[in-house]
Amino acid sequence: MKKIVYNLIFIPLFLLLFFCERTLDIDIQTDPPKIAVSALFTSDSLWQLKLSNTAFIFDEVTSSKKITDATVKITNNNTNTSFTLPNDGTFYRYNKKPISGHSYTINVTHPNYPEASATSKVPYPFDIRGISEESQVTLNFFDGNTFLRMDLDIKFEEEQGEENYYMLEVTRKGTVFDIDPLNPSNVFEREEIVPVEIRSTNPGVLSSGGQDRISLLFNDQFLNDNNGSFNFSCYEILLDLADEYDTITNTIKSYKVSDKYYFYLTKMNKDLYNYSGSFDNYTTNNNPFALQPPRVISNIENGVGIFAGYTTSVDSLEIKYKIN
Amino acid sequence: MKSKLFLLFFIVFSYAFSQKNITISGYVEDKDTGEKLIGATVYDKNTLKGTITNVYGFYSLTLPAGDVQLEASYVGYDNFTEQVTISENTFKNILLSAGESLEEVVVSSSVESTVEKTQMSAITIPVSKVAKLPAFFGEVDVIKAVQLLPGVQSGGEGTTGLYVRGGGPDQNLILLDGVPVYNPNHLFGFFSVFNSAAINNVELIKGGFPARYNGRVSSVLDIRMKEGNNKELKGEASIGLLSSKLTLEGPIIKDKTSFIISGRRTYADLLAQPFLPADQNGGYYFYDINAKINHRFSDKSTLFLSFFSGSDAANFFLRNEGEINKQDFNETRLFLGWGNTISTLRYNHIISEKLFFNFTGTYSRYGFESSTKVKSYAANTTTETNIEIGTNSGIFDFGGKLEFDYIPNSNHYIRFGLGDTYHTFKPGGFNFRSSASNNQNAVSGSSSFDFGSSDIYTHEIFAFIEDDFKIGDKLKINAGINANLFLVKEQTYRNIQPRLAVNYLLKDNLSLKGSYSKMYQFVHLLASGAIGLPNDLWVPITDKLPPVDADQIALGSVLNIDNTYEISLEGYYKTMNNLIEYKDGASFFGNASDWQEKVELGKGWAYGAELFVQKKVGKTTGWLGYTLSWSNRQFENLNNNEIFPYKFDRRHDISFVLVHEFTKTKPNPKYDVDLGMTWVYGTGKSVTLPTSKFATIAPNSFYNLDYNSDVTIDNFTGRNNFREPAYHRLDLSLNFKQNTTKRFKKEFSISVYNAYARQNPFYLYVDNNSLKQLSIFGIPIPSFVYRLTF
Repeated sequence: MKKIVYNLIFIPLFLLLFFCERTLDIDIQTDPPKIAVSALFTSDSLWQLKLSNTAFIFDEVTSSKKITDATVKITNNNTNTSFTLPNDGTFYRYNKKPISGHSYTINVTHPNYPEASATSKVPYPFDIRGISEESQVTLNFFDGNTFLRMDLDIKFEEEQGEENYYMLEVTRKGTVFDIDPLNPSNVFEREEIVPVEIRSTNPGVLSSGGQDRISLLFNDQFLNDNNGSFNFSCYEILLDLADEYDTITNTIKSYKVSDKYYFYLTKMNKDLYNYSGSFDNYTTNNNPFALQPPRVISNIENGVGIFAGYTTSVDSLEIKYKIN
Repeated sequence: MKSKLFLLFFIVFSYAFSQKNITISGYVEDKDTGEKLIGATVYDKNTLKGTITNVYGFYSLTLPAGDVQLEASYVGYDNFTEQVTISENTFKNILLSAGESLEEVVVSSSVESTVEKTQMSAITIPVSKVAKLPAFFGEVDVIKAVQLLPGVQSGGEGTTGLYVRGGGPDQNLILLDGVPVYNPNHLFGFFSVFNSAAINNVELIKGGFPARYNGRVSSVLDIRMKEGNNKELKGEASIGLLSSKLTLEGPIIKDKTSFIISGRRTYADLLAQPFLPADQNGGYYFYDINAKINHRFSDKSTLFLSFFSGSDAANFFLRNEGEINKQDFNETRLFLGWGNTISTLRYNHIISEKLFFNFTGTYSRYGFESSTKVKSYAANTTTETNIEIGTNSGIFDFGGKLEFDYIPNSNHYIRFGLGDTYHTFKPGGFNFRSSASNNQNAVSGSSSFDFGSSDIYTHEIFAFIEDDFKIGDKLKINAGINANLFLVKEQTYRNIQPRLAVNYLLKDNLSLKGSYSKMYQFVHLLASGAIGLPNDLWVPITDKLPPVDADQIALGSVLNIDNTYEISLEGYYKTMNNLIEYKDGASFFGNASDWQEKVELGKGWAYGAELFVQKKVGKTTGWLGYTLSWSNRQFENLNNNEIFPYKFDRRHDISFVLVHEFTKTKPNPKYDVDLGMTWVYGTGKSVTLPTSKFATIAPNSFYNLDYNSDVTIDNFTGRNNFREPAYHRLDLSLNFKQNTTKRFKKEFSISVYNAYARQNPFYLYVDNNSLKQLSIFGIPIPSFVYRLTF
């Protein structure tokens, strides 16, 4: 009875008194539609990019908004040569690879939109000189999971005299145990490339990849020395490192001895760093708790999106687990 | 520059000492209660020289020896007049009786006409008059009354936030008996912590700051508690929709020691309790207690001890029992609590007829904490697990201050002093505890850890001197300087803050005023929203974030018409440097552990004009306030370094306040009946909304870059790029007060908040391809208060 009184009287009264929601019939000043560019390029792959347009905030944005009839001209600023990218129905493609160290300018023209342009350079390839393991610690977290934290150091070739920006990602090829939440005794094993959660103790380093924190964005100022050395930690849930899982007692019977980890270090310019960081900020913090809405920082003049070069270097390391 | 200023003061002092006169000094007090009267005028009608009492009720008037026709007056009191002959320095307390002569004054600086005062941009609000205005949920709130003044804007719907002349809520120095109050909010900002029953005087200063104030850049709200009736025991009890109050005051030793204690508590949690399900418990309440005791050692020495404590607490308890085994259970307890504790020890001593001394020792604490406790029990294994997660933050201050008032003659009023406040900032801690145990094994496992920002210790040291002096009959100047040091970690900030205010009397009833103030601020408030959430965090300036500084100039004129109407017009221009703003997407719940990583540094400026028209006499009194203002910000790393409007940039702001006393001219009415009305209008706040959206590739993984997946992004073309619909609201109140000679007198007030059901915007958002507005209090909200005074 008490519950009924509570639900019938207090809750509606509270809502009536305090909250009224209505749809506003107000004209929002909006910019005329612009071209949105999605172009990330590296010297390892052919030219490929996608175009779409910005839509009024109350419109649906779907793939039907893509632009396939624009004129896309790329100019190599080092050689002062240019070429046009034809559209194949989805992408604008060109059968050549960008050249490392060269700067490119994109000009997109279309009768319905203002001309959009941007310039970016393809970074030179670089080598990862080594990855070393500093320590391992087992951690109990309040969500019930137990983690293995592996503190690592990555050394790489740092281009001097340039302001460099990086994204670090780590993966592990291993077994994943999927436990049926309705019936925990049902455990499914599968092999896959798993992104590994990585973090830095430095608060200035951006941890991106949504809630999973699967990449780190940083620049030169967070390196240990001029020779390119960066400290970070990988976090593994112990369950994922199980070699054998007892489905009757829901406990780990034994752990693996080791796994092979892959380290991807991507070098980029400030525009892409800003775009990646603000994109991650947007996907993570675009919620009612945001004090100011997150804004994705574009480098396209008279447009939105990104036109930027990058280069990725990869290395691997066999890590032996020291699980207590 | 400094040497010239010292030379100026030396000349002023020399001039002052050269006068040979007789001084009459003392306190001005309420005859019935002994309460000191702040800002009362004491005047010699023969020489036309006068002064006003300071915040402790002290006056000193130096006059030529001989006959003096002493007159004293104060809002709501009968004038005091006495013919005396003085041949030597005289100490004389003046007792004023509550009366009708000036009761009509609604808002005034004092009986000394605003026209004549050097101080501009300042308004004193008689608390007794605030009680006649409509009260939100029946809670008479001085902060809500302050919001009705020109140049002051409120925050969100119903909240007590103050935005003064384009400044932020953390730029107001809110003082309770001289001690800063860091969180003046109850119930997420819908009510202030100031219990009107315990308050004697409220003064708001928006510009032309005297040198004795420092530490904030936009305003000073100086609230003084009552001292307590030292003649007889009095009390007041009230019961309202939201809370009940009880106030007692009286003498402990008649005419020597008196006290006042006032308490208030809400009871929504108690009323809802019977209706909660058996497996649930919880509620919300706030309370506050004001207490003060003072002892008069002699006519010249008085000791005061005042105390304030106010807290809010919300808690929730839920118990789930196992469906198969009833002995299994899971209990969750949530707690959210915050509050201020303030204590002041003050000692006044009249060193000589011309020199008044005050020592103030202060303690202020604001704390916030939250906790979640989960307890589980499994009967089959007799295993009990406990998990506890808590957060806390706060600020603690200890301070001491020495102040002197030196009144060498009726042409000078010199104040000087120094002080130090030791701050301890606790920017936020997090702790975790877990344990598991069973009968077989006392403790089978446990873990705990704590982390968070470390405490920061700072000193804020200041010294000031100011002189309020006259040059001839028409020109009055208040010149002063405040020097301060702020020590934080290895860094020391040294600042000089010059202040100047000038008043030129064009006619007896018309003056021209101007002022300049330089202000520094050493603390920031990291606010998590427009409403006053308890987890808003006070943090000090650091080596990365230098002090906020502001320069403000103001020009204005005041016209008094037949002592019935007073019209003031002021214009101001204020620049602010080293302001902080949250970065795009920054969130209180974000993952950056260092708060400094969430903010950007920038500058701002605000300018505008304020018109204030008061009708002060008659059955119908009130005022009209109109503000035309601009407030903008510019940050190098925000909004592409382009200027954007401040969130509370409101072009037009109007407040209309009316009190009509129906029975004022009737002889011996059984009840005094009056009607209160307030109407406010403000241009909509600026808000950041997306103007378009687009699809893009997700650039957050390069080893696995997927060109085929698109993510839709809202595109924001600028910060605060959109105006909310205008805000307006009408509130009404009707007050009945029993006129009787009996000891117990009844009062009854009814109020209606938002009388015409305006749905004002509280929060705008885009949802389902439309713009939606969330409103709170979108319907008329009635309330009542029943009050008994004895």
